[in-house]
Amino acid sequence: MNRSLACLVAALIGSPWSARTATAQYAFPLVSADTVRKYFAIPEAPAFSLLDAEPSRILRPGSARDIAIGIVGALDGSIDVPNSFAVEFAPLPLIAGDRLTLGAYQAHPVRYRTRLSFATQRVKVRARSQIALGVRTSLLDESDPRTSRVLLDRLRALLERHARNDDSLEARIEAAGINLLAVDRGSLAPAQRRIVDSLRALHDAVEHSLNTSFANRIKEWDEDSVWNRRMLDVAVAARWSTRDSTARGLRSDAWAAWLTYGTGYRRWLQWLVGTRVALERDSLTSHHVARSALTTRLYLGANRYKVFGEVQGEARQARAPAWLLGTGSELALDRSIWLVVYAGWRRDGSDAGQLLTRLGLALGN
Amino acid sequence: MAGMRSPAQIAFDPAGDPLAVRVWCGHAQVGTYDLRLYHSTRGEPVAGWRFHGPLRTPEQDTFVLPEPAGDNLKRVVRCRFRIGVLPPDRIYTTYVTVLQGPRIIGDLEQRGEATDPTVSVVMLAKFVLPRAVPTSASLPAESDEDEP
Repeated sequence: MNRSLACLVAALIGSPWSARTATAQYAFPLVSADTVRKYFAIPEAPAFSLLDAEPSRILRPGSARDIAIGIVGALDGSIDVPNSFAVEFAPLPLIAGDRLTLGAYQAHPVRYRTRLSFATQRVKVRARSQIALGVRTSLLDESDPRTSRVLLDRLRALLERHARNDDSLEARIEAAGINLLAVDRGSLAPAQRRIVDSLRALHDAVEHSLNTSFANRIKEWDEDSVWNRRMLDVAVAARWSTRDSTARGLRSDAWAAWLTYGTGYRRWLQWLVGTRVALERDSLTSHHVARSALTTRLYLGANRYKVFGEVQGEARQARAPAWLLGTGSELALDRSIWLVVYAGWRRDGSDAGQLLTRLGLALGN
Repeated sequence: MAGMRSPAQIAFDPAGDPLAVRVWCGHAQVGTYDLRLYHSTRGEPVAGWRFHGPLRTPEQDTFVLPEPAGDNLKRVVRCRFRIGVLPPDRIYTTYVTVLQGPRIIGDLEQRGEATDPTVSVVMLAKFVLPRAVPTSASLPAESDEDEP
């Protein structure tokens, strides 16, 4: 982050805007906006969202071997439920990734986008261990580079230019009377090596330029045109708890399902609608309580600077519905640092309502 | 450029079914290939046998070598891939699979993690008689009986 952006963050955090928030805090009951906004978006790892606290260390394995190592490390020689273990991965790419062709991926993208999350946690207050399992997938994802014909056509055109550059180098090597296979094997006489090195200079400059173009194509796709493309995500998760770490008295505590649909208009508008349905055991009565939320949000702007407004309705078993009206903005200060501003009004049944605010930094792409 | 230093030795039946080469890549990456056939490691190309283009499906990117199969003894197949790495992965795996009729007689694999947006990979395979395949312990680093 450059210095001016750092100054902006510091100024905002200590600004009169913050003072006005403090005034609001005095006048109205103030709760974290995240408390209600979490019902909107599908969590990256649904299992973690059902734990009372998100695990601080999450294993994201790159191979099946990494999973095995992580499990062995978490168990630490015992067969008890680990105190704290969290893993999130896409099983099929892990199993078949080495031999997964682009065509096979394009034939069944949903199964390759499906991710599993699993977590355990010891809850000291309730003296119970929690185990959560979640599944998430994208039924429709127009931001997936592997299924975008437009992006792939552009990248293939660049790869063709790469190939012509490579052909040109090899033709010059052969024209110099040098055996190309000897170059591949690295078995050249010093004089031949010098010739090849000199021929490579021009090739490498073009290669570097084409690589930059390739990276820019993906970056543009990722940042400017992807954010409001159509998507349909779905996730389900469940949580169980046990009396102790040996998994005795295992019982289901919570179930949740999420569905989010998003679509855009040109490159400056995005509309999202999401729902969450949950069934959670009441810790006092042991009965399951159902609740559901429906939220719609409209974004204006671009991926790295946008404002939004949202409306949320939440229905809960044996209680009056709750409503939320909110607005906010998300501003990318740097490649992965976001300034998030949010203000909303939530009314729970017949109460007087609460002002929800949030000013903070978030990490992400 | 990533690639093998010595051609992998592929034992085949000179009197058997026609030989074919299949080129493909894993991790659902995008790429192109340039496939050539040489008479020997001395580097004289076999005229008229060269294929190149974008990687499609493994079945579409399968090419029959000149017949009869025995003509390919000591010949070298060279495949140069150019792989574009799609996010979020940085890993690529390229394959040259050699078939005799329906049977796979060689499956060469080159796996790596790209540091640049694209990577060039060269893979070499040489056709030899079954008894000429050395064990890994006896394989000299730069063995090549065709070299003058």
